[in-house]
Amino acid sequence: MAEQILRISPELQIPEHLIGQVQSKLAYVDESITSAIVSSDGKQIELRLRPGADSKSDLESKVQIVVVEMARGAVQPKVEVLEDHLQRATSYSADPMPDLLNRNEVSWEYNGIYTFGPLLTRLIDVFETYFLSLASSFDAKPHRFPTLISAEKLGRVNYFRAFPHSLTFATHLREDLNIINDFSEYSEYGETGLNTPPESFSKIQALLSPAVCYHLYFSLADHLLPGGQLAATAVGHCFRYESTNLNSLERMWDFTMREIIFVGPADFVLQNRERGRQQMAEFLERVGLAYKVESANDPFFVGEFRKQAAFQNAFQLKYEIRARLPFKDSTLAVGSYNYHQDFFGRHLNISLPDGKPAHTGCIAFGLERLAYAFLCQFGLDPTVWPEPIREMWNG
Amino acid sequence: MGLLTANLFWYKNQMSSPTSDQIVFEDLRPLFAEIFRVDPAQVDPNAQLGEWPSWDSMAHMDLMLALENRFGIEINAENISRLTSIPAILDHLQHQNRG
Repeated sequence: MAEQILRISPELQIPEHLIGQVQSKLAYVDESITSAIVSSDGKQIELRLRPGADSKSDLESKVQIVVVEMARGAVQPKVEVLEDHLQRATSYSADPMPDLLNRNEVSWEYNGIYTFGPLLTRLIDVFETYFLSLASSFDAKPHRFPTLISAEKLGRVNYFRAFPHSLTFATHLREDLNIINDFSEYSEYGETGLNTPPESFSKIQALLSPAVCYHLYFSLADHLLPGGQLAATAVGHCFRYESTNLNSLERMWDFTMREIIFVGPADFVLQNRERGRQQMAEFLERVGLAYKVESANDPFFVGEFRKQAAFQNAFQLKYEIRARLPFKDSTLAVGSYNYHQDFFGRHLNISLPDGKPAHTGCIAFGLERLAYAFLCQFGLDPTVWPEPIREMWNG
Repeated sequence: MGLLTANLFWYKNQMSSPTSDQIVFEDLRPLFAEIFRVDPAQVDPNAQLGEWPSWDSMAHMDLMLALENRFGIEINAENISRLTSIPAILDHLQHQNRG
């Protein structure tokens, strides 16, 4: 049976600033959808469906719900560009992926799961060297956080309401001899996954971490903040399921983030976030990366999207570093400067000496994305890379 | 006269009164109470975003949308970040009405 195409006219015209965000959410509407494209005028949606998909009226009504929830009464965002160096000359313009795959520098293990060879690993170490020096300039203390994260604590900060679509659950076989023996004997990978009955698995008590800084906030919960303020840094694997959007190094299910985290009064957090941005601007200028820094919002799910995104935008809570990908004339978020106000302080009862809830913020870098964007701009030959990176590469 | 127009007409007439702020606050007290999920008597006329546990980002956006619907106005991103106290909201509504 052939792939089917379904064209839908949305009940509301999708505003230009929401086209990409609606398009990415359509992947979660139904398992039969293999791709979704919203036309540039926001008046047409084209879905590609797996062969044999049925109940198109149900599918269409779910698509309309997504559109209406996200677009109805959407507040036009105030786009604030803090830095714009997108037109910086760079030395490479081809797609590096074919070469990376041919050389086995990148190997696809499953959708969104990649292994990296020596070139990318060493390049990431180069960026890490800089990030560690950046962290030490804030006297940020090093931390190590687990890959698993408590379901109870994520629930306490409303994560399930805001980002249910991207969760990755950790489970195990229930403590039951028959279940474990049956699994051992009969489990096998079928066409779509393990054939294990769902009831064999435990209730969810842990997930794979979607972010690094949450662990620090959880460790400070229900306490007076020692010293009234702190800076910390950690690197860790993060997991965000992105369905059919997991189609390249641009969107990985399992990726690594380096974060520098600030907890304290609002001024302390905001001043350090700004200082971090300025220091990064100097570094990126030396590197010669083509990028911009502009206001952004987190990828909230449909029900929360409209309000949460408008709130983030209005209060200038998030800015992204977007690097240019010359081969496709687009940009990719490789880092962000975030301020959470007193959200975590209030929900986790982290108190300042004056009794008020602590404010939090972080600057975060997606290490694989940054290395990938760098290769897109400068190619795979280290001998022709910009000098500051070559020096660190050789050093 | 529709409900919204009646509200605006009533609202405009109160603006010249020396106690207009208090009257407008009383008019909006049930709305604040509903959005912040508190007893109307507990709504403090000087309350600010972050002062009540229930005045969080979602409640703030619910409030902005409710004000838009009730007064037929549009609240842009700049004002969403500015209208973070009940006095600021009342002041903004007054200026909108005069304009």
